[in-house]
Amino acid sequence: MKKRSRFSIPAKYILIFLTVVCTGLIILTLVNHKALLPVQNAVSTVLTPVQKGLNQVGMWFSDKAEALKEISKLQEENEKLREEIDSLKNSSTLTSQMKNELDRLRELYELDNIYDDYPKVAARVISANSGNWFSEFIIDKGKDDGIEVDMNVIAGSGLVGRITYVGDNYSKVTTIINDDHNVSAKFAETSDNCIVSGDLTLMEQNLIRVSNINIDAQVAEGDKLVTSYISDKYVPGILIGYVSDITDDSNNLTKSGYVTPVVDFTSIEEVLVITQLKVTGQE
Amino acid sequence: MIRKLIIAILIIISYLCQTTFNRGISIGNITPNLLIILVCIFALLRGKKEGLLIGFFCGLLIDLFYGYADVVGFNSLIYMYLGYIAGIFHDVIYTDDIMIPVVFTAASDLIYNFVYYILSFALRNKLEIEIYFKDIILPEVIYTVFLTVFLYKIYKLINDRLEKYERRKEQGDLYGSGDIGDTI
Repeated sequence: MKKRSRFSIPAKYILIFLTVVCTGLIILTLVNHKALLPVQNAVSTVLTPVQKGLNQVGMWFSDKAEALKEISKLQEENEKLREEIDSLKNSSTLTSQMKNELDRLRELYELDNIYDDYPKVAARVISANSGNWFSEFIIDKGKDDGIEVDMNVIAGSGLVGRITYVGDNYSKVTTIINDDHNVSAKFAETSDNCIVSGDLTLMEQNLIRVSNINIDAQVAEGDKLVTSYISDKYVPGILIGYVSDITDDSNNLTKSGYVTPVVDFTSIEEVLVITQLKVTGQE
Repeated sequence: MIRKLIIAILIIISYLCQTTFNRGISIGNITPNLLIILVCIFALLRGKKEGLLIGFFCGLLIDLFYGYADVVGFNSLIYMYLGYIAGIFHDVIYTDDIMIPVVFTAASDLIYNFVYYILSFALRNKLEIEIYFKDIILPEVIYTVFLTVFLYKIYKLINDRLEKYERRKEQGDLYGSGDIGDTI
């Protein structure tokens, strides 16, 4: 059948040639992660618009399906929320009074407003890691939109992760549930420091491991964990999640447990990128 | 020419399904490996050369965006060799039996995940291989095999059409009636 007169190279030689190419690429990118950025940008200029479009189509369908399902649920919820609004109105007047007091006291102490709103950019998730080993995704904003490596990413009210790679019109987000990811955190109430590290074996239960809690720390189940001041990548005060199952470690110096993140990592569609980088004081 | 174009489109569609539509096709957070299905089936249908080339480009696409630790080349290398190895059996095995691609895809997916585990997890001292095998590798292989059964029919149909078209074009060339195929 294949009697083409065209000159053709045997598969063996192509294999050897491409093996050399691959090895070269591995060495090149091991030395310099950004070596192939032009190629990546070129491919992404083609793929990103397609992915954006596909995503919109997919979202439209899922929105329609969801809408039909949720009407009755929403009515019920609406009722409940109305009740909640009343009680919240009450407490909000109280809080605003307290806020005024806090402002006055802050002025007195000349403290900076550290929990101030960080400047943010909204972005859409356009693709997720092809395999099942890592939890990374790509968003549709890149260097052209002012995104830089190590910027923090949040969704809703909780920490999602940080930017680990930036192209012209896309960037890669590595989430905090990713297996090789560690975050320095602290307890919101007691300010005890700890380490939050992702673990693939816990990913399915939507949990993250927390370790290195001081044995004397007065922490209980359900305590809030936020990013700490000593983290060199994360800006302080972003909510990570709630602690559970704290047990003493065998070394009797530290405790460890699990965190339930506030973000639902299985269904992230839009994220906010905090465009302010953490200032670490070292160049 | 038209074969290259169609295969390029198939690679891109598989990649997009796996990454952009992954929530649509994944069951219980496990995404099937559509690219390895593509590589294996075409390697079995067409042989070593096409297998290794499709494998190389599939791997490269993953590497460019989701390379482990931003290193490009590992996935290309693994996919390429899987394609080549499956391609060796092209001349030996009768490919009309559905079991052959199923077995090859399962084996390839196993090997791929195992190598990937060693490179990215075992080297970081995460050694609980039974847990990873049970929770990650096995579900992925099962789901991938399940899809292979359907995709094999589709890919075989596409390949048959292409081969028929190529044969016709070749005959046309032989009798000197020019490049009728290229005008499509």
